[in-house]
Amino acid sequence: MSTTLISAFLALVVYLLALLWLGTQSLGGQTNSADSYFLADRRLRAGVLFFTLIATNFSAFFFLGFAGAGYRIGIAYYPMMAFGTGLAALSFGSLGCRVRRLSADHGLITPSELIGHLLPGEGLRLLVLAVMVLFTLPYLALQPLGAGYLLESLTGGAVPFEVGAVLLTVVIVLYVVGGGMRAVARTDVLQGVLMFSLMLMAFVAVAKGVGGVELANRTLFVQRPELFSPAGLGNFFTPRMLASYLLLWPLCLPMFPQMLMRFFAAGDDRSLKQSMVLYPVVAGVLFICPVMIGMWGHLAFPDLLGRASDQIMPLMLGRYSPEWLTGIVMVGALAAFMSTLDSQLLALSSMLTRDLYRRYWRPQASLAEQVRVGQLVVIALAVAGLAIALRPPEAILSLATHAFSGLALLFPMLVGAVYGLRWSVVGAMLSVIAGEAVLLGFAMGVIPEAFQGGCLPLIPALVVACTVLGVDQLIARWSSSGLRA
Amino acid sequence: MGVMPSRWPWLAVLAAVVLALVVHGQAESALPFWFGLPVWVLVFIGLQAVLTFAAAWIARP
Repeated sequence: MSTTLISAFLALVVYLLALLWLGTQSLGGQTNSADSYFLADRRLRAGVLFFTLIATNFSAFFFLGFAGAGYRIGIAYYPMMAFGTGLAALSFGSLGCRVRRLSADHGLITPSELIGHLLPGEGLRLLVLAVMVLFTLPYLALQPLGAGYLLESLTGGAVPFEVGAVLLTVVIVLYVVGGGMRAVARTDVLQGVLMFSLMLMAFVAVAKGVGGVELANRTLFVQRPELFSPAGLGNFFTPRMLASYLLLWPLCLPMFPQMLMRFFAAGDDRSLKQSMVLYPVVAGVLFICPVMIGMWGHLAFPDLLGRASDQIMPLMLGRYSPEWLTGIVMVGALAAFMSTLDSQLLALSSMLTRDLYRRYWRPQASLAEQVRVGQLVVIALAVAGLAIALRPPEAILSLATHAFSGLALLFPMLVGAVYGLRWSVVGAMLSVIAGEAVLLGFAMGVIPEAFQGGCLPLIPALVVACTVLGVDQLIARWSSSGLRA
Repeated sequence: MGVMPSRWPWLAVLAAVVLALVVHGQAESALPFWFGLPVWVLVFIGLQAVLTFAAAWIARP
């Protein structure tokens, strides 16, 4: 057995045991109320809140996808992601604080309850629920899919993909069912620390292996100068495309149900604001590491095509870092997978329990009953996610690629309502439906690509959604002035 | 009409975004390199710092 495999197995066993231990530590202190299970009694503060925000947001795409994008696009990928993420974090201390106060004052637990409180209407509540579940479930299913493949490659095939996906999902289900948000937040701290430290270790090891940052970049510049251009390889980041992405991240990040619910769970405004300040720093420092490792991949593996480039991180580690480190770093990627999956499971479970079971089936359900149902829903969602992951339908994968834009279209309606704009329920619903229809039209090729104007399809969809809201406001003003007259 | 003080940090954010788009649009050549990185990337790192200061400004009590 190679050193890489031994270190990977040891790191994996220690990591999984640590997760279970943290999960059991969260069993005490539960008050068996929905607030306690789904939102950790709304007491997440400072460090824990920061790590849970970051570990939830940074999926394994940060570990593997960023390096792959660095290989395919070049350094241009870094400023787009880092600056976009920094912009998105501004919502923590602005929108986040408002949402936190609203949810705490009125006992709201899910995004649908929030919109239902602001704009009372059953249709709108169900629409927000449907959009969030529809776009989060495929994304959730991608996590065991990726984790299973990673574990298979990490153990040299000793743990087959199916076994790995099931094993990791079972561990997650155990601590999510047992400890709810408290367990998720505590494990997020461990997973966040692992992600940061292992990424930095990987960067230092690979940079040393390629002869240092300066030498590697100068050599690479002579071979592939377009890797250092602002537009990147294949002229990917045109100015319009960059502007689209800088808009996409701030709009979609707070609309992920698992992120929005962290605003609900925050203990105070100060903690949210501290996270807002630290987030751009962490994104600025960390994101450059996988992107540069990916770019340097051209020095050692110049012939990777398409999605094969997503393997560039393990390939570079295998080539340039000590054997023991390769296995351990890949456990960091597993941590990134798992920290996103556990948060998605809990968020969707709370929404299905509160917004469907309690609201339409058993309005008299006690808080303890809601927790029990929530735990069962976590298990059901995990099984559904695994079933999709083991045999992923094409439609699900396609839906996952549009998840960010699909969720971003909720932003104008929901955030406008949080800031006091009183849309009519019909106007709010039409805005979301029209935006999603435009997105679907582009995805299915019904609307010609020319209408995107060189931007992401989100932009025209957003224009349509905002226009509907604007018209709704105009009609409301005309009606009120007509009434006064 | 003056701008409300609470809007100042948001104007700084807007300025940083506009500057980011301008830098990206104007940086036709990747040269020169400083510390192993193209200057336009270093400018973006500077803009990331501006964003952090703006966030701290928004967060002030």
